[in-house]
Amino acid sequence: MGIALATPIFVQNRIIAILILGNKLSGESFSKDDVQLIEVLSPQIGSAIQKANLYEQVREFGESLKLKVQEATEELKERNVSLVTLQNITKDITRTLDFKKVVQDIADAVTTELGFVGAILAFIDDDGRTLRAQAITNTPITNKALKMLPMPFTEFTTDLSNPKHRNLVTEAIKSGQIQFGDSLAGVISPLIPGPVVSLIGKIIKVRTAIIVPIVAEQKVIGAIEVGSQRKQEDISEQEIETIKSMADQLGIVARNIKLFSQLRKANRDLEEANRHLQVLDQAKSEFVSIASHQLRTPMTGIMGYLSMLVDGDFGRIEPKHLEIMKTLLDESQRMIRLINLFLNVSKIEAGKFIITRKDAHLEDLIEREVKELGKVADDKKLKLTYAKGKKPLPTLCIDVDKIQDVLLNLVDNAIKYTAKGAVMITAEPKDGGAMVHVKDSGIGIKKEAIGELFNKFVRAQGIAQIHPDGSGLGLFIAKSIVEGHGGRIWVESEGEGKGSTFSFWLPAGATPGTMSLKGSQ
Amino acid sequence: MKRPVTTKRATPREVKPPRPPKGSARTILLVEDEPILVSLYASVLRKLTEASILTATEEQEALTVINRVVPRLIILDLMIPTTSGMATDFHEPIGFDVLRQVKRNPKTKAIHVIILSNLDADEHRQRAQELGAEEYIVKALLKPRELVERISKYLGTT
Repeated sequence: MGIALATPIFVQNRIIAILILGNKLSGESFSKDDVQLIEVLSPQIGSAIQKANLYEQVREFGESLKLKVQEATEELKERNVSLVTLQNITKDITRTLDFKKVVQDIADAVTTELGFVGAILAFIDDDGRTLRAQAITNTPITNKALKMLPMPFTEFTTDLSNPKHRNLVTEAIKSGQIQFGDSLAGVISPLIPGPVVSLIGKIIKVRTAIIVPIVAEQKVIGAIEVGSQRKQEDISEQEIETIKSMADQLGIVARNIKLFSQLRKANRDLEEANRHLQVLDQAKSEFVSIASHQLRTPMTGIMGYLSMLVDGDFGRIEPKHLEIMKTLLDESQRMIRLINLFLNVSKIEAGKFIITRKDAHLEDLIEREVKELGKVADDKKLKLTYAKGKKPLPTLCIDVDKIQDVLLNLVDNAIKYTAKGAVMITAEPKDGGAMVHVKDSGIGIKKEAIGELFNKFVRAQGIAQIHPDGSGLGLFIAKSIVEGHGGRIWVESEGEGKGSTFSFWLPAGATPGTMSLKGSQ
Repeated sequence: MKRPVTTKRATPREVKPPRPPKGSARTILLVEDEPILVSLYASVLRKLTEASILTATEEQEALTVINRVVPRLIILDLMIPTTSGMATDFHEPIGFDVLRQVKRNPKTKAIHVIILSNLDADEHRQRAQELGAEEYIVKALLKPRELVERISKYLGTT
């Protein structure tokens, strides 16, 4: 077949093919129309060829893309495994602060989650130079290997300062860099004798050892030593990264556990100190109680005899001497009162101040007090009165002796601090209870001192000072008693020289019974 | 803790020969170990009551007098020594042993017992009440005269 016609095919002005036609089957020669048809056809052939080429390229691109997606999926899967592993470990860590357990779980995770033969986790002792294995993955193979050791693995220690102990592990710890080896020997020699190492090597066919230092607070504290049966080049970056992350997590755990154990120790120390203080406090109140009793006994004798002498039970006494004896009697009674105050404060503090409530009429208590202290007021030429209110007071359920003490304290103070004028007691029903005022025309109280009046001690320049006459203690006790009854006690004064009014309010409606009174400051 | 109620010591001593009891045989036993308080209370009781006053300074002596004489009233200190002179425990004063034995013995349980002590912890008051004491008086809080006023109601003729 001879060539009858040839025409180039262009694609973007480039000849990419030549269309060659033989003779027509009819035997006719190509007409002008034929040539024209081919001229029209040839660019279309060009564009068809171009399109076919493009399709091939697209197909190839699609193929390669699929491959890439596949690879990426694999990588993602792997990443996912390591993330899950890390997540499991983290969960483990947050759940327990038991160092041994965490370390063992991580050693086991190296096999169960990451598929390595096993791992050893070693940490530096507190001495800073002894490296000790704390955990080894627990699998049948590792257990078999462990049985070959002449003693427990934790007893094999590496002296980091001894050059003869140098191996990949000491290298990782010194440099802080990850280390690789091609056998177990680099990890457990020279710690474990050569023959044992080769025996173990036969059971655990380690081809790659990866040693990652564990860092906590910028200090290397140990290492994870992972063994693989694969060659180093077959272990992916991803796997190495996972082991590194584990080491990081371990660093955090180790630090947390250390902090936790420090905290626990501090707590125990505090508890111990607290117990000791309680014992001391108990001993203190006991001492105050016993001392008060022992002090009272001779004072009882002195006060008793003086009172009999003053009362003339032993015959007439010269007026000059009688005055002295009266003073002595007052002083001895004052001393007994002070002892009682100390005793009561110590009882309140020891929680042994007990309130025993029963129904009582406050008026009776006030009247008794007026009768009792009337003589003392008379001696000072003071008028002591009880102005009974128009409305009757409700019946109160109170510890009669203790509320009587409160009244005694307030009225006694009022008389003591009033040179001339009067002390007046008033009482009225108020807010479902009873309110009592003890008003005097005495020296009054400085505004700034009012807040401190009911404190046990007055604080001045950081030193605890006691009121010279113990009146602070008395008010402290009165406050404890009133508040122990669920009431309130307070003082009002216009200022120095303007007298003062001490008031307290007690609620009605309590039920009879006994309760212990806790100290208030 | 049991102690035999037997006589081991001689008859209780008296501070003074007792005056012949006026009216009924009113006897008060004062159990107190502090010499100054023995003489103080004995003298005020003699002066202000018509009872005859016996004293004892320790546990066994007190129990002996109680069983022999069966006084109308016992004024009982809590911190008294045992016969062997053993110091008494602050939490378990010997006085309670005396009180317990008096109230347990049918022969003596009707005797009024007034606790007169310088202890005044609530535990002690409560204990005294449980064991059957009639009154609890804190020594330092009363003048001797007031003490006599407080106990006079137990000295009636019934």
